[in-house]
Amino acid sequence: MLSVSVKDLDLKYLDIHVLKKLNLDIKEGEFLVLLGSSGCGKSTLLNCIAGLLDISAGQIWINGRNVTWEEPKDRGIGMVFQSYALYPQMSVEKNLSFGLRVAGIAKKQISERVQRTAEILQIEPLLKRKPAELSGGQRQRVAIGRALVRDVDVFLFDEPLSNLDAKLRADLRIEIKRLHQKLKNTMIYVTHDQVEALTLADRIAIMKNGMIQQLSTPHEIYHKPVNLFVAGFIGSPTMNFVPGVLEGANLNVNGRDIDISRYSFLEPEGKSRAVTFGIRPENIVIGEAAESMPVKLTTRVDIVEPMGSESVVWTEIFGKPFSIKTQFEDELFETEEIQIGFDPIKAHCFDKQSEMRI
Amino acid sequence: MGSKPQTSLLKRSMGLDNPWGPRPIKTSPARMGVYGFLIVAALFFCIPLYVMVITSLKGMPEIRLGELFALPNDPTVAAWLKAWAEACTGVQCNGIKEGFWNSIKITVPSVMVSIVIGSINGYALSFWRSRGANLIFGLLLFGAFVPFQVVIFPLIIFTREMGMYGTLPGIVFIHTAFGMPIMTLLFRNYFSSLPEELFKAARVDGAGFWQIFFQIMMPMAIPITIVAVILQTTGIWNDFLLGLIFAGRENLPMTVQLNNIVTTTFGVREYNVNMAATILTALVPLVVYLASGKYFVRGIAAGAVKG
Amino acid sequence: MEEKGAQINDSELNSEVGKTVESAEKKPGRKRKRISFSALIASMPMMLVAVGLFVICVGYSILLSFTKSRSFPRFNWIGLDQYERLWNTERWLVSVENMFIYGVLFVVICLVSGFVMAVFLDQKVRFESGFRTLFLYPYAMSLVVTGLVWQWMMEPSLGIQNVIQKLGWAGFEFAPLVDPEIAIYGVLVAAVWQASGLVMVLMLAGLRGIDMDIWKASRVDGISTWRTYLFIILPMMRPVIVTSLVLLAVGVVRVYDLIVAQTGGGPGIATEMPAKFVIDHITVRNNVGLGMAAATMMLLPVLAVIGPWIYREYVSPRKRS
Repeated sequence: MLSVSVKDLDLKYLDIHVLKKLNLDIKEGEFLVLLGSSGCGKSTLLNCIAGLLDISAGQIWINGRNVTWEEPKDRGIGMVFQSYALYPQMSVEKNLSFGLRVAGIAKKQISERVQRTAEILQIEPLLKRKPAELSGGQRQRVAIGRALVRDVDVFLFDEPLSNLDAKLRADLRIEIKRLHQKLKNTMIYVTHDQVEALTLADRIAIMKNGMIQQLSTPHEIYHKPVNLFVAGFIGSPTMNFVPGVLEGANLNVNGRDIDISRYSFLEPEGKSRAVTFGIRPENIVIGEAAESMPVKLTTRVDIVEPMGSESVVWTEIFGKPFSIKTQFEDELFETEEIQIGFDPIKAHCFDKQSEMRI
Repeated sequence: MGSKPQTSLLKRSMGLDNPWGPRPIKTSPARMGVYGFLIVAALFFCIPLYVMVITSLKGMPEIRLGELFALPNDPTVAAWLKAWAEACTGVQCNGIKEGFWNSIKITVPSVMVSIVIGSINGYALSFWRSRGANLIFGLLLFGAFVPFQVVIFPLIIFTREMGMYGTLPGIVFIHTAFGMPIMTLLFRNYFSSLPEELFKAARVDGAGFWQIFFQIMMPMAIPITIVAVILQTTGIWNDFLLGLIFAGRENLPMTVQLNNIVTTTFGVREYNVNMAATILTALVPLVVYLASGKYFVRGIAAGAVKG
Repeated sequence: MEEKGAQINDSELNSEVGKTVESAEKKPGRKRKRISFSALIASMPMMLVAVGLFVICVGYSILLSFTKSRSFPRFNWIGLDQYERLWNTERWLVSVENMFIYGVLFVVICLVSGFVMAVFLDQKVRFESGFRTLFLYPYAMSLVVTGLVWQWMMEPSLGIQNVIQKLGWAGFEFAPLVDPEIAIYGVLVAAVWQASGLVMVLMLAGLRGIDMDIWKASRVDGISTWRTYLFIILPMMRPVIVTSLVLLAVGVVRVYDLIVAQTGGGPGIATEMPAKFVIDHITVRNNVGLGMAAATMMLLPVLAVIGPWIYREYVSPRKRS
C-alpha cells in the first residue's frame, strides 16, 4: 500500500516555478530521502506534503486519503525541523505534550505517550528541563520526540542534523536509522548531505530545479546514475569526466582510442556521437594492479592528499584534472610517473546533448 | 498554465470531485476582523491629523459652528499666513517664523556636533571591553534615561558660570551633552557588530587609530550615521524643555514659540491659527519621518539594542 | 574579546612582552599602547559628560536638596527638612498620585495595544507598511503638538463632545480636561496616541525575528493561531517587552511637555506631574531646595527601573547563551 503519494504537484511562487508537475509514490514503511543542493525544491516539497505551504496544482494523498486541503494536524504526520523549533519557555515534557493537550486528549493517555516516547529516545532524565538547558543533540532528540508522540504513520524530517557538529551528526544518523528499524514508519527526510542520504535511505530522490532527477535505491544511484547531474552530485571527490566521441564501443578522447566494449550500454551502439565519459576516483587503480585492467594509461602525480585510510591522488589526463582514490600502501611523490588503469564496466557514459546515460 | 480549470473540469465530468490544487480561499470572518480592527485603529491615529489640517483651513466663524470634523466650506490659508508671520508669541507678534529659524539654528549645529563626538566616542568605546569599561557604559546608559530635571539646575549654574547660559552655543552644548549617551551607544553598538577581523587586518596593514576610524570605520558607518541624523534631528527639533530653559529669549525654538502662541491669547482664541502653527511645527519631523521610513524605526530601537 | 581587552591592560601587556624575545615583540607592543592612548583621548568627551553630567550634576542636585537654597545655591544645611516639606505639599502629593495612575495605565495600555496592533499587522495584511506608517507618525511629532491637538479636540463646546451631542446623543460627555476628576485621563489618551506606535514597531520587529519553524511546528501540532501567539510567541518576546517597558516607564517619569501644552497642570493642580513640579520650583517659584528634593525623589523610580536592567544586560558577566 502507498503511504504517501504526490500527484502532479505544481508550486509557483510569484514568477518562480518551484516545483514542476512532480510525482512521487512512497511505500508504507519506506525511508525516502529527498536530496539536492539548496534551492532545488526539496524542502518546499516536504512543506507541501506537510501542508505548510499552499500548492498551485496537483494532489497529495497520505494513507489512501486525499489530504490536499487538510490542515497539517489532520494529515497524520509528525515533523522535525532543522532549528528544532522547540517552544523555549516550556519544559521538555510540556513541549512533547502541548499539541496533545490542545487536541483534548485524556491526561492519562498523554502521560503514557510522553513516557513511551521518552523511553524510546532515552530522554527521560531531561523531561523537566527547558530547551535552553539541553545540548544540540538532546534538543534534536526532543524535536524528534515531539513528532513521535503524535502517534502518526508518516514522519517528515527537514534537514534535522544540519545544525549539529560532525561527530554528533554521525551518532544521531545511526539513531534515526535504528528508530526507523524499530518503528517501521514511513519517513521522508530532506538533506543536502549525500552521506546521510546514502546511509539512511531505502530510496533516494535526487532533485534539481523542482524536478526529481532520479528516484532509486542508494546502490542504483551510486552505480547507475541516470544522468550527468546525478553522476556528478553523488560521490566524493566527484566523478572524473572527459569529453569524447563514441563510435561503436570505441571511445576517442583527444585523438586516443579507448576500447570500452565491457561497458554495459543501455541502448544498442549507434553511430558516432559526442559523449561525456565518467569514471569514479575509487574505480581507478594505480601501479601493478593497473596491469590487469582493460584500460591502461600513464600519467604524472600532481598532488597527493593523504586521508588516513586512503589517499586522493590528483593528476592530469587528457588535459583534465583527474582524481584517484587509492589505498596504495607505498608513498607517492609529486611528479612521480605512475601507471593507472580501470575497467569500463565501472565507467559511466552520458550523451553530450541530452546528458542522459547511454 | 491553464491546465487547472481543464483538469478540474475533466474531474467533475468524471464524477471525481476530489480536492485538487490550492486550498479554496475563504474570506473568513476572522480575516474581515483583522482588517476591521486595523482600519479602526488607523482612524484613531488619523483623526487628530485630519482635525489639525481642516481646522487650520477654516475661518473663525466656521469654527464657531462647532463642526469639528466637517471639511472647510471655504478653504483659506489665511490662518497659515497669520501663524507664520503675525501671531503673537508673547509681547511680540511676529508669528512662528522666528521660532522656525531658531530651531534650524539650534538643530543643525547640535546634530552635527553630537554625531561627530558620538561617533568618535562610540568607536573608542568599542575597543574597551573590560569590566571597568562596562561600568562607564552602564553609566552612559543611565545618562540616556535620567530625567533632565535631576541635572538641570546644576547645568544652569554651570552654563551661567561659563557665560553660555541663554546663548546659541549654550543650547548647542546642552543638546550635544544630552545627546551623547544615545549617540555613543548607537555607534558603539554598530562598531562592535562589525567583524573584528576587519580591524585586525587594518592593524596588520599598519593603520593607526585615527586612520582606521576615518578610512575604514566611517565609510562603513553611513547607514548608522543616517539613523543618528534622523534620531537627533527629530529629537532636538521636538525638544521643549531644554530650549525653554537654556536657549535664551532670543533663540527660543519653535516648540516653545508654538506653546506661547496658543497660551498667549488676547480676547478670542484663534483655533485655526493655533492649528496652523501646530502643523508648521510638526512639519519638519513629519517630513523626516516619512522620508526616512525604515531608518526611523531603526533609530527607535537603537536605544534598546544590546551591544 | 580577550584580544581587545589586552590592548587596554598595560601591565598585562608589559609582562607578556617581558617574557618573550624583546626586539621582536616591542614594536607591536608600542603600537598597541599608542592605539589605547588614542582611544583614551577619543573617549574623553564621553567620559567628561558621563562623569560631569551624570555623577557630579546629579550629586550636586542631591546635595542642594539638603539646603535652603532659594533661587541660587546656598549651602545652608537643613537636613531632611525639604523632604518633609515636600511630602506635606499637596501639589507634590497630587503629582505623585497622578504619575502613578497615569504611569500604570499608560504602560499597560501601550503594551497591550502595541502588541495587539503588531499581531494584527503580522497577518500578512495588504498595505502593511501604510498601516505601520500611520500608527507610528504621532511618535515623530513633538509632545507639545500632541498636547495642543488633543486639547483642541477635547474642547467642551467645539470639540468631539459637541459633535457627538449634535448627532443626537445629548448625554455624551467627552471633555475630560475641564473636569479635575478625570483630566489626567484626557492626558492619558493623548499620550497613548503618541506612544503606542512605538511599542507596535518594537513588537512587530520582535515577531518578525521569531524562527519560522516555530510557527510550522505549532501548525503541525494543531495549535490555533491565537493560542500560539499567547502561549508560545508572547513568552518568547520577553526581551522586547522589557525594552518597551523600560522606554515607556522612563517616558512616564519625564513627562513634562505634554502637560504644559495640554493642560498647564490644570484644572487647578489636577494634572500636575513631578517633572513639572521640579521645573516650576527652580524657575518661577524660586525654591531650588524643594525642587531638588523633588528631583531626587524622581531619580528613585528611574533607578529602580533602569538599574537592574542595565546591570543585567550590560554590567554583569554574560549568561551562557
